[in-house]
Amino acid sequence: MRPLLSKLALFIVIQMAVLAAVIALYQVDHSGFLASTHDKRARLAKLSSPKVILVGGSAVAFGFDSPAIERSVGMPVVNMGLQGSLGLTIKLREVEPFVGPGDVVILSLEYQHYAGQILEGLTLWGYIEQRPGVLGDLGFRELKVLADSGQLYLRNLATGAARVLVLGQGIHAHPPYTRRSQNAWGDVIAQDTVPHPGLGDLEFHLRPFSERKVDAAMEALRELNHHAQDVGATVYIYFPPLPRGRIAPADEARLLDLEQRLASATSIVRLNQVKDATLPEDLFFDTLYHLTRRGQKINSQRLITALSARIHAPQPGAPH
Amino acid sequence: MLARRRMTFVSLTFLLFLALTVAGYWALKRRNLQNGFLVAASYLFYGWWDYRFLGLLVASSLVDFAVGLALERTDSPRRRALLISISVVANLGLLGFFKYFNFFAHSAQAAASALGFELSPFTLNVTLPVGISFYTFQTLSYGIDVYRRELRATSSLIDYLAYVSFFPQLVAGPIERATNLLPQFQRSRHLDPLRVAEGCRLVLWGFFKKAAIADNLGRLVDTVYGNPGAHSGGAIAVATIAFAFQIYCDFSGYSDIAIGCARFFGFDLMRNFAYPYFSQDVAEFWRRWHISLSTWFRDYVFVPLGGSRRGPRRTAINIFITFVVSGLWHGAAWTFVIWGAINGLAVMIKPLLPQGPRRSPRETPGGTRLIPDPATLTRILGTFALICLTWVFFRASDVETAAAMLVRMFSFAGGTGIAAVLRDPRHLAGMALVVVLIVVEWTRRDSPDVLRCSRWPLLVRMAIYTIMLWATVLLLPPSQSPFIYFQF
Repeated sequence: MRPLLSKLALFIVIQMAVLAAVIALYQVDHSGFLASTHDKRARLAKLSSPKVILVGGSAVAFGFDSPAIERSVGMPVVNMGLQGSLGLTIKLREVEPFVGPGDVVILSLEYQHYAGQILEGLTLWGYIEQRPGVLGDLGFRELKVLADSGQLYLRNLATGAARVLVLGQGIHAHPPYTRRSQNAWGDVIAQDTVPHPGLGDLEFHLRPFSERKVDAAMEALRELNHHAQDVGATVYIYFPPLPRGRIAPADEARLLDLEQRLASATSIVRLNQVKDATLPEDLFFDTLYHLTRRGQKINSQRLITALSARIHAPQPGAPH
Repeated sequence: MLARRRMTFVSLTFLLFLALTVAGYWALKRRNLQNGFLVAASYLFYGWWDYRFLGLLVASSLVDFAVGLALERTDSPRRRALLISISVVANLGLLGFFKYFNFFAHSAQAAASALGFELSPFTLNVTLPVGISFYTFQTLSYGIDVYRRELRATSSLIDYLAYVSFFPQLVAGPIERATNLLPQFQRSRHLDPLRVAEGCRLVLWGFFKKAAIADNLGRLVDTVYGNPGAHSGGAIAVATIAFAFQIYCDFSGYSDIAIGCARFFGFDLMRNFAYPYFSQDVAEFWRRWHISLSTWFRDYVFVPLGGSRRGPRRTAINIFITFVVSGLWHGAAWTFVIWGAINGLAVMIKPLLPQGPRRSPRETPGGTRLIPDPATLTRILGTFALICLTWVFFRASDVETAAAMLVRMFSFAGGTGIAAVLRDPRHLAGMALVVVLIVVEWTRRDSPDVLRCSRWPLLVRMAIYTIMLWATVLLLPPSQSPFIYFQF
């Protein structure tokens, strides 16, 4: 048994040494899209209440013109939109401690979030590269996804290290998927600096949902809403726009189903309706949810109109 | 469709699970506790995919356990026949419902329509439980072996459940016979360093075949088979060769990992592949390919049909029927039936011809010479070419597409050519690794353990293993494909 154990130990030591070399060579991309989390978090922590917090994935990062919203509603805005595939709970947990009295939290989540369908291991690994501390906050589902994709992350590490070894540099993102492509509010603004790929033949699809996952998503939304109510803030749902004519009837039925479930499972006020949340396809930059600058302005104007009617309306019991 | 994420062997999750299970297993000293622990671990492994289908696994297991006990207690032929019928109906009923219901419903509708009757379509939206074709065959063979008095029924439920659910081979085989595996659960095991080392080598080789070769070839195959009309005959031929190695590396890789993992627990699973592409005729190929399934069909379909006892013509018919059934086992589609039938035709000719040499999978394939003689090489290449043609039906989406692809291949049709298909570095890497695989397997074909090189200096061996491991990591495609045989 001893010879085996010593050989096994030698093998493990060699692999650990290779892994250490890989990690040492690998360069974390501090200029990429996910790295913008540092700027967004810094702005969120800096702003005092009342403020407007835009929450979601890239639908939010690519979806709004925050300075315009700020001017219209008279409150500072922070765009926390990052990447849809980080999953719902991470996004909600990230903003929850910063929600204060009078704040307005706008959830403009990708539809798949309401069905608990987006959580992608490699994005999660990339986020942990930026914020290792988040590892301690992950739930079982996220840890499972991380473990399931661990081999792919290892591959990314090895590929990145090999690039540094051969080319002298790691993998770097290109605009608009960089940290510098975003303004101080956290909106992506570099769409006009690069060619506009358009949607091609992309269509919106929503897989049939699992009841368990929908329930879990609704529970997470309810929790945030309760917390907001406790501190005197308000949470709104604003459905992100989809390209007109790119939704199959079956998917449209699922969207309406989700909207109904949302209405019955939570008391969160919806600022728009799914059926109205569409835009012409030329206002989409490169994929679903990602708007061009013009698309951002139109979408923001719609939000401003819906939001102004709410926050400037007299509250029940308030003096006229 | 297999919609949910399962714990695949090529994942960090599985490595963690395996490490914890091995440690927990050997920490327990008593055999019964070890078996119970393996049952729990195996159910966790299976439930990781979808815990709801655990019920089917348990139900299938319990039926045959009860049937086995009842068979043991009676000598009445009628009662024994009734009992084994219960087992057969229960297992095949389970398989039939989940795997074949829609196929037969569609086929009945099409047949009625051809006869001028209109049947309203009735299909069910059922998910195929992963591994159902494997574990139902395993439980079925247990019942039949007890019925035939080739095996004593076990009275230990834990031993039996451990035999059926043993996680390394639960979802894609090897389909273990109770006569081989069950006795191993009934005796004490000890940690054998040599077997563990062998297991490590098999697992590493299996990972390499699956992740580095099969998954990269899969991208090439998907590109061409996804749009065959746009590709030239040459590109379709290259993609078909790529598929031949993809499915081989995928499934034999899985089997190697399964056999290797089983060694960590002190178990010997049967060999499932014995260098099939070095076979010199199709019959030999089937003695070297998916051996656990081929022998299952031999013992439980071919032999009960009469085997080779009733003359060459009847033997040929029995072979053909067995292959058609085997085709249907692989999938509920006419493409698989035709695939089985073509293989059956190629094998059934043999008993009708003057007897040639019968090559056993234990023999070194292609002879022992490093450079084969021209006749041997011709037979190997001819057999490989024939097998590749049958793979077209196996891989194509439907019969019409398969036929159109064969026409394009043999009419040298134009379209996106070989050079364009191989321009993708991953496609080229996949094909280059096929060459590496052929060289390695040809030179090591006298041993089931390809990576065994105990006479080489330790550091050289370590260097080889390290390069293989990190090459596998580097060559992992961005999105991993599930094991092909999971869908069966």
